[in-house]
Amino acid sequence: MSTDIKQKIAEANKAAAACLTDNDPWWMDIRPAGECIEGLEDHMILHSGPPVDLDDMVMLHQRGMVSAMLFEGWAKDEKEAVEILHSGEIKIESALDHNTVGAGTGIITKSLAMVYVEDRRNHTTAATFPAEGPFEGGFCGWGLYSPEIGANLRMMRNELFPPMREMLAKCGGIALKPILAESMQMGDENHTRQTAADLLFDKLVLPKLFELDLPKEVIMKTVKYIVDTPRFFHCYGQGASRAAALGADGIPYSTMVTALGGNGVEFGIKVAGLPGQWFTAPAPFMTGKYTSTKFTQKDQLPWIGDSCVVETAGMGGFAAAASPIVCNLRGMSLSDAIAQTREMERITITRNPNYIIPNLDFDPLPSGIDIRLVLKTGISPVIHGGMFNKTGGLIGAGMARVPMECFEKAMKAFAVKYREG
Amino acid sequence: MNDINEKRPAAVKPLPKEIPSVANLGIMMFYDALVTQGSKCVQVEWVPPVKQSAEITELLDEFL
Amino acid sequence: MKEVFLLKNRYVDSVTLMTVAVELTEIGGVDGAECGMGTRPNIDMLKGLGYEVPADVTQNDIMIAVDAAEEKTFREVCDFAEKELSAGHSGRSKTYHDVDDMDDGEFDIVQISIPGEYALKEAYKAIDKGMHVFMFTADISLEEEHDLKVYARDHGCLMMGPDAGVGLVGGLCMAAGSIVDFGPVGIIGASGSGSQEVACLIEQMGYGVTCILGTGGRDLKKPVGGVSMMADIDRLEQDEDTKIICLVSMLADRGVMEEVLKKADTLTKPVVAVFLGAGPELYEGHKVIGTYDLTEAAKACVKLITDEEPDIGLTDEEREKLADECVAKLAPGRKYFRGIYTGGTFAEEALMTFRKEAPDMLMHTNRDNTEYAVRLKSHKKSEGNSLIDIGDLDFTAEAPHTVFDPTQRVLRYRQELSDPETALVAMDIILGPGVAADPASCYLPIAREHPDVITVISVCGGKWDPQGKDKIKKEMREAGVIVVESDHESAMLCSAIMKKLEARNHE
Repeated sequence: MSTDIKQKIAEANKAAAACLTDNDPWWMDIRPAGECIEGLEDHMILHSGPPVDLDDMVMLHQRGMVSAMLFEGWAKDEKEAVEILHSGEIKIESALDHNTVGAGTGIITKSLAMVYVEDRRNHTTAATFPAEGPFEGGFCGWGLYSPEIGANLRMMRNELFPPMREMLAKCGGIALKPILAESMQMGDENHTRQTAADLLFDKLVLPKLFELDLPKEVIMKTVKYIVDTPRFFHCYGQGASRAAALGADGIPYSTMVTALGGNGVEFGIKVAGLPGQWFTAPAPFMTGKYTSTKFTQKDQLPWIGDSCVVETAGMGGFAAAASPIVCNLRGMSLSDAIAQTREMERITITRNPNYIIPNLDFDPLPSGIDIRLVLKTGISPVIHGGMFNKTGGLIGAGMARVPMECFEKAMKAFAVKYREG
Repeated sequence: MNDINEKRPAAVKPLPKEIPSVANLGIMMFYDALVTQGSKCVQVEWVPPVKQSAEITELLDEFL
Repeated sequence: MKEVFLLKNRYVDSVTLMTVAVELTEIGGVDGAECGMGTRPNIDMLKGLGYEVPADVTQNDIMIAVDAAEEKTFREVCDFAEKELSAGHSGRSKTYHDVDDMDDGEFDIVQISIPGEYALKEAYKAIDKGMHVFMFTADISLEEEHDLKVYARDHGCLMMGPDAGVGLVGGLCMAAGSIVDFGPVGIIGASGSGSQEVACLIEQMGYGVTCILGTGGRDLKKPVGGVSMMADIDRLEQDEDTKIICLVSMLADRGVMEEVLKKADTLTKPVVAVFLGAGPELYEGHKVIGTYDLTEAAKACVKLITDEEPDIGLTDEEREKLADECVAKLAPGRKYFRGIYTGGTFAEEALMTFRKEAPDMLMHTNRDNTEYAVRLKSHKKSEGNSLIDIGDLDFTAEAPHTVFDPTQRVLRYRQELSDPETALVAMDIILGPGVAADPASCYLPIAREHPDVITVISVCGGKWDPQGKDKIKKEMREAGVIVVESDHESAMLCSAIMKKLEARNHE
């Protein structure tokens, strides 16, 4: 009888992992968040990581809340913003409780223009925030707001995105998986490095933009935005990963992780067979390289951000073997990078035949984190990311491990829900 | 509940009649001996598993 | 017939696609094959070749175009392409971290020598996946052993051990056993070295065994209840190659042995049994051919094959003559026997034989629970006549078991020889693919230095064991060692020597 439930779990996990490996993500449009994020209402602010009370939020999130109020015009100044936030009028929710991703601080409100991705196999959609150009971290990523940032966001929406939208309408969308797959054979892991993905994207998209019947200066603004923004493809990899994971959300009996994210205070995971539940633990610190010797761990804010959505889908830290350069920046050798991916093989449900990696002797990347395997092996998923200063600003890059406590809590909850008899 | 079926033993697996394939967990010397005798064998890279709490160990037994 | 199949929404790089396309054309029955992504140029190319491309093709799909006469070829090509395009191309062999990583029935046998609590878990997993288990690990409770063996039996799997050191299955030696010729005798042994000796003697007499099924040393204890031995008896009754069954064990729980013998009574095949230390009352009323030492058991098996009384070992005359020669070489003052045995069963068999053949001899030993000798004060030092079981826990706690590494016994041999009262040393050498590669030559320089002491060595091994049985025997004889065929013969010869020595010393 006990083999019955193990069988159910195995079958459920197979289906869940297939959502990741068989996904078919397409960039279809750029739309306001309120039009493409399900459940994102007026006077609602989304943030990264698991749910957290306003007063418990780290400074970056608190600042982000105020920035959101000002951006949307729900308050005229900081003082009023804080008052309204504390009045309970504003709904505050986790980005990962919606079909979106909160990279960095992940501040998202209805008027923000978002990259809109459709997954044609999973019949899901996801919205992710595009790069802010010269303000890099800016509003969504760092929770900042100023008249300049506001103006930039408006400019992006009014000038940079329309040519893209026209191009997308004309060509029917851009397939994202081939770019991800080929880029990981060219040195990207698609979390902290997407140099090849950017180039592949450019090769595909720029000619289409040039073919539009629009004035050259108009097109060139968009082209420069794309080409000058580092890590431009970052949000597309996130969108593809999120849409894939959403396909698995709610599959009964599945022990596959469908979300990972931190808010600077806590880190949380979500599990396919336990929809709507978060399993949290204190957010971990990262190890890696600081941009300056004056920074140490005491400057570091514990993990904040949902960009580890790509690890959920089997890229980033899981694709370390594909990206020895990224690993080398953290003092790892080629064999260390390969070993990291091999280690992740032990906690995953399947291998993704679309992502064949030369450094792995052409083995496929591991995909689909199984909470049971994490507990059994004591190996926690590796997540790559950028280190934030407590006072704001990027101070380095590195990796962290998802706290084991998250998996223990999830396993116990799974038992409560699914134990027979 | 069918008692008769519960007690009936599974079909007895036959004795291997040719050099059997072996997975060796433990002493390396035994693995070497299997290799020299021409068995299709593997040395399992076993390490003592992580010490979990009793509760987690039980849950893993139940669900994994 | 030309047809195009689609692998929807899959990414594969162009070089791999080209390689696979070439491999497809090499499949029998394929007149032509192409493999490419659903891009415009590729689609046009296929159309140009006369293929009809499915309308729902997109540039993210892989097109496999096949030109073949038979329907089944298409299927073959598709399966092959699917496999090639999914697998890694490294040919890197799979890594296993435990039984969970194995597929059902992936191996015939899982051989386990990891610590107890983990060994138990892995064994259950192996049985669930339909694999036989051989377990060298011993730190498992008797109750756990019982439950594990019942589980194995009910799933039709062999459970050899816990605490099994010897096995021979399908001609493959497990752990410390010997390679023995194939023949009609199936041996089931709760004693490792005992089963090995019986098998090797059968081979020496010109015959062989179907298998040695080790049950582990505790199978016949009450809490375990003989589950493995009885399951194996059933199995060998079914096995068409086994014509004779031989049970080997030390004396164990009375009730359990009774059950085993009762089961043996139900068989159509003849059963020989040796429960070392048993008297005839044990076998009374049962069909088994009861024997009282390992050599006798081997002989009884062979007799069932040939119907003749086989010849092995020394004749009584030869033994007496040899014993006289040995005693003649011993100087006055040389009084004592020192036995150093690696096989626990050999030690026990020797003690029994001494008691029977030389009842006046006071023997000391480090072995627990023996009726035939007095406990030594310390295992580290012999007193008077002493028979040491150097495979005992006292010794193996400090150093590797002698059967794997002779160092410990070399030191003890030297120690006994440096005692001016030592007259005679007896040892057992065990051969096999899983034990020390050079188990004997280490004693020979020491033997050569001490022609004033007699060394008798019994060799337990099969003729195919890698150490080279004949070569070893020859080298030992050249060093002045007396080499005998079996542990029983060694004890017979040694007791003869000691009786004569005793007589001489009292003249």
